[in-house]
Amino acid sequence: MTGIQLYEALGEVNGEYVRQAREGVKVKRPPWRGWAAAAACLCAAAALAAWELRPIGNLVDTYTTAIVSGYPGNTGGQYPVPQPGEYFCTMDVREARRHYAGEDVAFVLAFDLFKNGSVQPGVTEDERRAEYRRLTELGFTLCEAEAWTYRGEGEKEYYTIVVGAFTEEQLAGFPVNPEYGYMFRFVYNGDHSSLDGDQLITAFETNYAC
Amino acid sequence: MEDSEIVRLYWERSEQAVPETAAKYGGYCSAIARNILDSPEDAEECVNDTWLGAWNAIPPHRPEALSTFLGKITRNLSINRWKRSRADKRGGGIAAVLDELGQCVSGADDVERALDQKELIEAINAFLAALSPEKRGIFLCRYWYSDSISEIAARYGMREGTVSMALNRLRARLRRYLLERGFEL
Repeated sequence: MTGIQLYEALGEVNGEYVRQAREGVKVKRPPWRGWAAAAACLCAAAALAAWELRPIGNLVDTYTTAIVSGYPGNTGGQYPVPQPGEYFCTMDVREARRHYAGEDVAFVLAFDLFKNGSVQPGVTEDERRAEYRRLTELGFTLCEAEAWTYRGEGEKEYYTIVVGAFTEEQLAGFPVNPEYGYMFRFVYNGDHSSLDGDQLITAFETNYAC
Repeated sequence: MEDSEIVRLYWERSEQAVPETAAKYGGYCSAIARNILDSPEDAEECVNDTWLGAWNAIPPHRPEALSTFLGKITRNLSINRWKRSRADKRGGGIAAVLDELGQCVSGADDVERALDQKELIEAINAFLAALSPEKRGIFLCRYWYSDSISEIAARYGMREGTVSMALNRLRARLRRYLLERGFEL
């Protein structure tokens, strides 16, 4: 197949998408809302807004529990690199787990992978994908999210990251791969807002991009 | 004039349909043609041919979205014009776009192994459906409208580097998506 053949095929795609592409001028990011806002300003469990994950891929019917995507605790600090077979949670994740102990919530977390108890050499893309696939096969719900940070002169720069929705039970009994160390953390945007439901793009195996 | 009114003029075979279409969508179709073709004259001819194509197609066609219906005609006419002109010279307005798309495919022009075009388009539609509206828009601005990176960056309020990076990833995703579904690229 040649580039021109693919280009011609693309000319036949859904016209609604084509129309929307030109209408979608400067896509506006929604402000805090839903569970992100709740997670950011919560001070009691009752304050957490229940939010059902959007109907994307295999996330659709999995959770009707409340979602926690951030916690106003200690997000700084230095952590040791987890050794193979170990997993850590950042302080704010630990505080959130304590706060919601016994409640029906799921935490939306990213997890960094480490090999040989060291930052370098990093995990390769193939290894990362294989690990994501292993976890999804074990029944974990992974999803690609689009977060943003500030770059340059205050410009927003978007990036994608794989996150999972983990219950306390899943975190407590997390089935580590003995080859890797894991660091679980919340994902915050550049203004320290938590991930919004609209920032979840798609289920991992449906269309994973990294 | 509303699109439905313009379409009605076509159905009534009113010659007023063409100037009304040109007045409303001339700029839109010209932009599509100019993105594909180097020559402004060629682009203008394709746009004029678009009105003729619309006249011949409506009726029996009754487009739901007149803009994309016309844009598609312009795009196809411009591609055909580009194919004819490339026999004489390399390059052209969409050379960069085609180079990028060439990274998704083998480049083998194997007519014996004709892809099922309908299945391919359905797969691409499914791929697009799974993207966020913003990503889908960026992808289609580049590979449907053939917009430049700088135009897309301005349209979506992003940096050019961010757009390029997003397109890189989207092409890789599309390639992987199609390969996993058995398409021989």
